[in-house]
Amino acid sequence: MYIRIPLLNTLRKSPFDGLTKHAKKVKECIKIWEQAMSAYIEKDYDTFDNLSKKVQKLEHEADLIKGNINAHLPKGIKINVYKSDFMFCLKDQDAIVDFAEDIVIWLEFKKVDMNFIKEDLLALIQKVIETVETLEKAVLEIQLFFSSWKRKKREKMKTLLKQVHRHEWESDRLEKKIAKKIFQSDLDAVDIYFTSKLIRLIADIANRAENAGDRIRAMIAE
Amino acid sequence: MEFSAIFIIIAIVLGLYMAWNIGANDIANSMGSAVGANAITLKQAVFIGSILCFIGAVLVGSHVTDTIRKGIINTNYITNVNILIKGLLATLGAAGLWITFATWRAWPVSTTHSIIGALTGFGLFVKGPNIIEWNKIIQVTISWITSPLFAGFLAFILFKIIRKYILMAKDPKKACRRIAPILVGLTFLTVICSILFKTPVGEKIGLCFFKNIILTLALSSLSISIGYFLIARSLKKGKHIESIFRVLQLMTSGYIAFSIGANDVANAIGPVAGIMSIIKNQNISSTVPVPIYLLSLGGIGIMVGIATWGYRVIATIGKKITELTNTRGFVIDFSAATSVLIASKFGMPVSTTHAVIGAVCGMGLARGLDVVDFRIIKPIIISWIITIPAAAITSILFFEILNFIL
Repeated sequence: MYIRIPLLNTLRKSPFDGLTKHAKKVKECIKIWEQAMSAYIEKDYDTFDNLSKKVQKLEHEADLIKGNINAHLPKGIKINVYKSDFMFCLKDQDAIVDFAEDIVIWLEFKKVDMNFIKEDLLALIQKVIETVETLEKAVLEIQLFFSSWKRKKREKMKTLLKQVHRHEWESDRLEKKIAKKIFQSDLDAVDIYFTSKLIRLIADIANRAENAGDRIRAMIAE
Repeated sequence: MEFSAIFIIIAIVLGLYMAWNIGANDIANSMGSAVGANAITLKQAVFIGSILCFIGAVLVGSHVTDTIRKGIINTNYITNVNILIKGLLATLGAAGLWITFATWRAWPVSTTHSIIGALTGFGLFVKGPNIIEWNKIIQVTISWITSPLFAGFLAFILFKIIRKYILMAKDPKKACRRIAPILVGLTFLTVICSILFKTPVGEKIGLCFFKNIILTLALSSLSISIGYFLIARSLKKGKHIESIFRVLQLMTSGYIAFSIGANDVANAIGPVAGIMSIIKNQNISSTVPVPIYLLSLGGIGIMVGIATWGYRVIATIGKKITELTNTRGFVIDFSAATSVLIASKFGMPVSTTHAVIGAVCGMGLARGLDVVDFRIIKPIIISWIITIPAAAITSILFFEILNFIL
């Protein structure tokens, strides 16, 4: 197709398309991760192995999307927001699935009975999922906001991002509570190390979601 | 002159080829954004674009024709009619070839500037630098900088205003009811101004400058009041703000199609009219009347261009620039159209193509577009600059070939 029209050259595909796509992949991955975690806690290790593979596959797919976005943002391309905000948002969003992958791989190393912290652990996982899901809701709004510039959309995003902060804070509190239980339990040293690192990794997912949220807040700052 | 019939036939074929090029490509400058923003369908765009381009070419075209032909080279220096005829043929051929090459390489160069470059080359070759109106060449050069800059500046400001006072207002609908009529008025102001000041319509009405301004202001104020009424009504019916901008965008898109027909048809049939007049009168007069049938021929050439190739270009552009909303499309179209109007009021032969680039970049800087590729500015500007020498050298070659054969 031979075209001599400036609009064709100057306008490019929005990088927010990629960010949205990545967010959807993260959401998909984190859902499977949740199932994998409950399977492990319920000691259904076959199901866990299956789901763990799925998580790793989705993490890889998310990585490909991230790479594709980065490859299309060379110097000289001007985007709507500070490029650093965009890049770090993407990076932290990608870290969510990276941690999810790290956790399932960590769990493959050793089978530890989690019954003594089961309820708190499930609550922590639930809180982390909520944090991620709230973040992704906000991510999906970014592109819509930048094309409509509706004040309402901006307010909605701000509310969502505040919720992300609150969920993250709650997950931190749960982490502390569980850590206390772990160290007061009569597990052997190896298992204590194993479980305490596990909850650290889980709580980190919420931290990264919060970081990504902070970047979004910077993007829509007035 | 035994060759006169052949000359005329070659000239008409080349002229039609140029007109086809304008229809095939340049029309997408206006209609592509409207299709991309889903303001109209592809079929509607082809229909509206063809009609407006044709009307622009036939009703408004004649005025611009002689300025380009006479503006760049001073024909008083050339006494041999044969040389001038061959020169004009070479000009058309060279400009057509350059446009074809540029289209193949996807360089958004201007048809007007190709013609200017080709004429310069021919003039320099035949009579040396004295024959060239260097002022005009300088104006062309300045327009590479000024028309995109001005369009960009306008797009930047306009988008910021729309965003701050309409889109991000506490009550966007109320704000839209108050401010959108002013935008309607501005759009009308641009369109009416250009019809009155840039085209023979203004001369035909025969009002003086002052009365023209009063007429423009009166019509624009009328459009503001009608606009206020219509906008208030459609907002009350629950229509969205974007749908208001959809109408505004359609108006500016249509206006650009109209002005492409009006301004660019001269690139295709101006030299043809020149050749025909020289052959008929056997002398070189300062101005050449362009018969209406030639303008219609140019208009038909543009329409054929849209129908055979242009619709595909519009479709491709429309698919690739889904980024465009009606608000964004309106800002780009309005800024480009206004900058073209003002620049040509100062006698600069500007190009819509250049203005559109500026407007897109201005929008990008105002955060109006998600992403703008600023890297392509450099190659685009280089392609604008080499248009002049490339077309000039090609036209000299063609002129020599014509001299050799005939």
